[in-house]
Amino acid sequence: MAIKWRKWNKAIHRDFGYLFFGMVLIYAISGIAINHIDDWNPNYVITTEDIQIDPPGLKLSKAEIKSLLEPFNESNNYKSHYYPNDEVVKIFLKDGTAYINLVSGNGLIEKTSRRPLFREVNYLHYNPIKYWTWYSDIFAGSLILLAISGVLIPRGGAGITKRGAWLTLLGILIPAIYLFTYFY
Amino acid sequence: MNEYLVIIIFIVWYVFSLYVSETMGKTKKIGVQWSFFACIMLTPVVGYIITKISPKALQTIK
Repeated sequence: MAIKWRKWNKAIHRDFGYLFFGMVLIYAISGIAINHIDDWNPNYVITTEDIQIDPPGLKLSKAEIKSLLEPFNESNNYKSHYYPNDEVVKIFLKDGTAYINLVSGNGLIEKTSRRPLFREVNYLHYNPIKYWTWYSDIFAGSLILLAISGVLIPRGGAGITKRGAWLTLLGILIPAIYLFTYFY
Repeated sequence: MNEYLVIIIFIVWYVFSLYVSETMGKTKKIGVQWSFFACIMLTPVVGYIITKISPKALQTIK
């Protein structure tokens, strides 16, 4: 009895497509995020606020620094502070920092918050633990299987010997041309 | 347990689940989908036993 390889190929493609639907989204979303790492921080949202206060004088106590932060609702977020130089105090806040020039009164509050979704998918993309690497390897192998089984599913004019051949060739040529121009 | 062993278990688990459900499952009352579900969730061996003891599906009268 002939093996109905098309039936099994279709079943494998279907099942792995369903199984790794979530993984494809995770790696695609984080891939886009990491591609544009120069344009934004995919893990954190950083907001800055310029502030101006009356020059408070040099070498402040902890209580004085907390009172400086009160108009900006950051007094309760105070953690610690130090002086990078004689005129500037750097204040560590919960989820942020503040810089205040003690002579001019100019300052900046920088707050950091986690960017939902992107932070989580990026974390997974970077293979945080051994077992996740195993699962990612299975996923990577399955992508190869999905690619091969996928091109074998359509038949006739839309199959790999006709329309599929040109598009598959194009898909291989694009990275090949890029690599050729980059290396040679 | 190393990675290669896990990958082999995964492949064997899936292949047997697929085979049991697509061959035996579709001739039984349990059907392909529930047979596959039993194999994937409870191991192919348990899935096979469940599928095996399931009564035969009624033949469609033409």
